[in-house]
Amino acid sequence: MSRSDAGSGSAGHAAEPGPGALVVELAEGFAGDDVTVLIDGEQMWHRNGVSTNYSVGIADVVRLPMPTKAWPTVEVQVGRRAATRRVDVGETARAADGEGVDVGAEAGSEAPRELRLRARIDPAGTLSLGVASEETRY
Amino acid sequence: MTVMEPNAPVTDAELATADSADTDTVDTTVHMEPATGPRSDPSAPAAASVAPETPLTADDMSPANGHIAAETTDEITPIPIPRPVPFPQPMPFPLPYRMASGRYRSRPIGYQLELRVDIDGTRPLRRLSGDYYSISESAVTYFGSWTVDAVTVRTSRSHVTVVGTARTTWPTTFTIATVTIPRAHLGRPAPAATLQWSTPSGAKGARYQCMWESTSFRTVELEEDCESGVAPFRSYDTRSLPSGGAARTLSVAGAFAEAGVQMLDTGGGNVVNTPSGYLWTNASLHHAMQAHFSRWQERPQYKVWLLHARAHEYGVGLRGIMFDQQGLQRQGCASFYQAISSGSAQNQRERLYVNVHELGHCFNLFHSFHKSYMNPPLPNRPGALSWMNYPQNYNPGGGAPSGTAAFWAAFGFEFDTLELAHLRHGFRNAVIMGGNPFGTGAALEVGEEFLDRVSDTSGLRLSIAPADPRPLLGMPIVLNITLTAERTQQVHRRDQLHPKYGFVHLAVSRPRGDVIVYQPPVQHCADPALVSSGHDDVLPISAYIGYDAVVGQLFDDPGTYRIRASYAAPDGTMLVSDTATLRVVAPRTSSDDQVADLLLRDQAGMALTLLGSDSPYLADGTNALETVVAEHGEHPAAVFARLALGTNAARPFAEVDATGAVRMRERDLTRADELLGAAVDASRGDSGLDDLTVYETLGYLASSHDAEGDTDRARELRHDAATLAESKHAPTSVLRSLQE
Repeated sequence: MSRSDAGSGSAGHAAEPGPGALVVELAEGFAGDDVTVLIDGEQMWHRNGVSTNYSVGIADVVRLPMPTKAWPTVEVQVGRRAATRRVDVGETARAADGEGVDVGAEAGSEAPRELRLRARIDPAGTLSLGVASEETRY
Repeated sequence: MTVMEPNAPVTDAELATADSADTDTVDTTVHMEPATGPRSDPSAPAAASVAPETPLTADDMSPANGHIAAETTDEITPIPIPRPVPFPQPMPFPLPYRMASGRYRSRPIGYQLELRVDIDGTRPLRRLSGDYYSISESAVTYFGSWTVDAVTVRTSRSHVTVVGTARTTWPTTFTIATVTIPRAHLGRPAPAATLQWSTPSGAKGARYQCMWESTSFRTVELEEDCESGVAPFRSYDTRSLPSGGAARTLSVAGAFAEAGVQMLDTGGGNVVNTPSGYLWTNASLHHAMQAHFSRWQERPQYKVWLLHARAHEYGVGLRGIMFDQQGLQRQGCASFYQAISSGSAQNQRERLYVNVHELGHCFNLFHSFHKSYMNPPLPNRPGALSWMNYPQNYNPGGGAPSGTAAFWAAFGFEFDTLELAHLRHGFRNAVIMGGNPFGTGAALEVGEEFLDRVSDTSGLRLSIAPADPRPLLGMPIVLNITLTAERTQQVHRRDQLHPKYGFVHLAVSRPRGDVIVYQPPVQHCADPALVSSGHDDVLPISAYIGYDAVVGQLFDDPGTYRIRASYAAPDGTMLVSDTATLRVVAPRTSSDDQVADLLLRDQAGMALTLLGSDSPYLADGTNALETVVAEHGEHPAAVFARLALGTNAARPFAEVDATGAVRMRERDLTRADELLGAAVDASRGDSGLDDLTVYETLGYLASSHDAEGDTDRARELRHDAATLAESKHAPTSVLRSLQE
């Protein structure tokens, strides 16, 4: 995550969820994987054969509705590698917000709130999942 | 010799004809060989196109004043003898010579050779390469490619001769390429190049005469279409904003022309109508390519499609994509102008960048920071000032400015050197659109000449050598890494050249066919410690590299391993080492076999990495080391087991139990002295541990004695280390660190 991309998310963004989207970006390291995204233990998205397009470093972008009652726990399962990462979005978002990472829309903006998580698998096979800003990609 | 390859000879008659020409003559005609179909080696002497000899003309004897002239081997330029000249008077200054670099092509007889010569002109890489096509009555078929990574160039007044050893995509013994090109002044027709293949022992193979074709190394047809409402990019004046390159007006074609690739505009210009606010998907882009790319075919061809579009479903942050990753890939890409639609200088620069960048992907180039994901992988180059880096990811390291602003301030609008080598000289299927899948074969074997070339620029030289080039299976593998600073500058402190600090990376090609980018099991996160070095200072370090964080035991098969290192210098320069070859020898005795079984255990590799441990989690590895010492004490591997066990004994060990209680095991210097003393004594000559490890071991043991108050013993050990190092003529940097 590039600090230079950090937005100006207000301190209140991570306080509680609201209407908007939860975006799970599947980034580097996917190679024909079976990927499942769960929210609070419930399977919300599944796809076989997920592979990273290294021209942009993205395998897929999963858009899900943001639960409105409480910050969810998001889990990404990568079947073939039997790797799983789970994050408490509220906790992670609060931490990221404290670091200046934009976890929602600008205050006063009419754009829908969007919380972006990024999952990546490093060359060693370790799956990571965390809050991210939308990056400029080429 | 019955051969079916293009490098090998065929008949004595043809050989005799081929031999009749030498570097003092110029081939002017083509010997037409009956088109009986190609052999299996284009470098074999049958596909030769040879010619009678023609003496040089007076024009060819004029003194050189161009780029090539600077390389002439003649030490004394003869003073021309005045002679009567007819009217009109000659020009007062001799014309410069034509460049020899460029693309040449032989006649389509059996095989057709496309030859690329890269020795002068813009950013010369001192390489040769070529592609063979087999010719039959009914078809032209790609046969194979070859490249010479390092050439020797000899220039006489009449000829340029380029010689080097080729890597080929097919097996052949004719691997020595000698290309001879007559010199010609500007304004005269470009001469043909003659390629003569031979074996390393001198047996001659095929000979090809290749007509000059282009100053470009490759030619690609570019078809550009446009989404409705989007104005395509045309050009950018690099003076508009500060940059690290020369001032010029660059188009997409111009940027590739600077890399030696001709982009032929084939028209196109279709407008792809879309609804308002349309978001492209990868599937819809692929469909659009098939519908609008008039030259699209599901086969490899140097043809590519670029769509200037507005937006992609991945979001406003996506500036472009090489979407074609199904079937035969890399034939199309798209740029998205949603966020860069205004005519500001920044946006114009961004548009140039994204278009060249996406087309770079079509040539099978990965991002500078994604090279480790390629097949085979290469170390990432986050400090690359390249079209293929992300400005925000630019990080030259060493505390130098990084990020977007630093990138644009230093960016010269060009590809980095390794990418340039791929574009110009990569094997055909690794480059051509529709060839290898994206990322496969994109890591063109790094040529030997990069070591010299980059060193020449940076004043640094990186070299590697295995401590034992022929170890027995199971022997711990130690690599000696040496950085030489020819010119005074800041470099990392010697100890930080160990791969565990992350400034030096290693790639290991294994006999099983894979390539591993070495990842140390223990990585040290440290601020770069820079020192000033120069005047050919030599900074050596030795590193145990036998155990990898991902694959575990790295050298667990007999066979030949090739290792290459890269170093990210503080100024952002990426140095690449020569290739070190290591041949792991199969066990010869039952003891060899048992030692290999013990030391190739997973935990043994980790125990050696840590130089011993009391951890119960590594008990199996520690037991293996103990067994080697106890039962195979005379085996050459025992010295490494003693080193690990002795080093562990020389330091205290803290164990935290399940309750959180800490139990300390104190130093056992008696055992440490016994084990390390034996290891050092076995290594005072040419066998055993490498010299650097011996000095460090003595120093470590001295520190342990110091810590226990035995300063006399510590002084004795340090004196032993210094004396030994001086007797072995250790570099100054090592002697200095021993004194410290």
